[in-house]
Amino acid sequence: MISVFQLTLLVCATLILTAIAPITLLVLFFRDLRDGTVW
Amino acid sequence: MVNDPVLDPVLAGILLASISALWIFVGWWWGRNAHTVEDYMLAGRNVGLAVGTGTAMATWVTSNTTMVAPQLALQMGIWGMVGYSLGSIGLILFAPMARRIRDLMPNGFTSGDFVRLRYGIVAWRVFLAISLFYALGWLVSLGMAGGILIQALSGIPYWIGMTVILTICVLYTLLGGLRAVMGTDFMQAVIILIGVVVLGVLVVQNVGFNNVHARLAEERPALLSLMMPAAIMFLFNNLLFGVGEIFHSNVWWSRAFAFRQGVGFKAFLLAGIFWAPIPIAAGFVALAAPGLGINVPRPDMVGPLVAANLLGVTGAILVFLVVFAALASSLDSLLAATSDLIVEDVYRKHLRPGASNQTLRRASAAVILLLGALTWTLCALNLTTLASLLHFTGAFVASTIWPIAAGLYWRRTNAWGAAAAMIMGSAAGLAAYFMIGFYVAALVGAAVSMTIVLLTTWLRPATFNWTSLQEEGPVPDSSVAEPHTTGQQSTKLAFD
Repeated sequence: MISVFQLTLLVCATLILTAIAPITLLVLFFRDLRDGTVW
Repeated sequence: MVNDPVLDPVLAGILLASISALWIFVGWWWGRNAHTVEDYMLAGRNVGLAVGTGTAMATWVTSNTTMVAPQLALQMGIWGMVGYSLGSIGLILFAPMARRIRDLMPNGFTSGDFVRLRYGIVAWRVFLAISLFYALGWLVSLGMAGGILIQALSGIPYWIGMTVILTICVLYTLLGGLRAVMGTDFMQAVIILIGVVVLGVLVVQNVGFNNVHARLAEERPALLSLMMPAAIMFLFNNLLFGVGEIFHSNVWWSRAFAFRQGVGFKAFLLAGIFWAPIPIAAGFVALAAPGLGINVPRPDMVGPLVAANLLGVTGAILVFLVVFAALASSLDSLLAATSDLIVEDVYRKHLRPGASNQTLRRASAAVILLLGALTWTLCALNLTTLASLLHFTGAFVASTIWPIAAGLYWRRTNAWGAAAAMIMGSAAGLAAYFMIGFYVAALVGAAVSMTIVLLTTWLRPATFNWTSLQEEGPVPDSSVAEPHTTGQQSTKLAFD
């Protein structure tokens, strides 16, 4: 059975990665916009 | 219905009208400069990393990811949600393939182009049958999911929800082609990711890990177990189904052709990494249900129920936006990619090989409309057997994994081996579906197809010349005389 610590680790890592994703997408988008490389 | 809607129908109606108007406007705006057929079908073959990553990720997040992943967590526990997240493997494995596709076929249009040039007409037609059957199954299942989910969330009748979501996606895909699809996908990816993070954090804050773990250990300890054979079997079947879907479908190939040189590998890799945590985060929301004391009458509604319990109306609106974005981002991509496959592989290559850019552009718009109408008609029948069509296609798509992958990397894989692998793999997978169960169809289909590809490559090696994949695209408008040949003659010319 998975322990509380393992569950915490799994979910926290997941949430951090999910939170990083939209920030990365927006940073990449504004970089592309600046460089004129969106399309 | 066994549970009350979590959102007031009037509020849901206003929300539906507002986001419909927003997506149609955004779709038109992104696609307003799509004049040529390459602009319309392949976004000008110059898509950058941000939009590329966003569209690959959002398209792979379907209503299943946001609604069925929580359901699986509630039924199969930790393995259910971790297993579902392995769907990202397909995107990650496609990353190097996308780079190779772009290098080998700089003028390619569809996955059908590759199979035709690599394996010839017989394998191409088998592949087209599999691909179009799968695309129709996915379209119908998404349209039906739209109607069912909007009804479950808000009480808006099934046929209204289904009609609205199909109409919006058809409209903006029609207005702006692949640029509209990718632009809206990018925004929908951001909405989905933010929504999932907000819900996950709220569950952690309000329920806490200790509470979630203690209640599960007390009431449903099996969900915390790491030894659940059925879940492990499901996991591998799901993995192969996902890989098969991505390797063969024109949804992903059209992106490989549309991304700028050098973007495909990074975009698919990032999309896979960003997609992987979503089913786990969504699944964790479901595991909190016992800790919150929520009665779950329908397992697929556990996500919205937890959100509404924690955040009230705001939570319900958030889930509504996330689910709508998840549905629209897949539906629009599938409409555009299936239309490309029909226009390029059926219309141009079978009927009008000399068709000009302008003719193809018009054909593309007409096919999007017709596909939308056909999907609406099938969804309006609301047959449960149609909803299970997608499970059925697992055997077919898994049988294409090896012919596609081997065809891209091995010179020696031969045409008859590829065609036999797709036919025999599909037949064996289908037999397993009926004789054993849906959870082994993709496994058996992929195993039989792999055996045939490996054996035929070893016993009858071919010597394929990679440069023969570099076919010219449609003839530019200025130099085109409309063809007067018959379909049969034209087809012959195209294959010569």
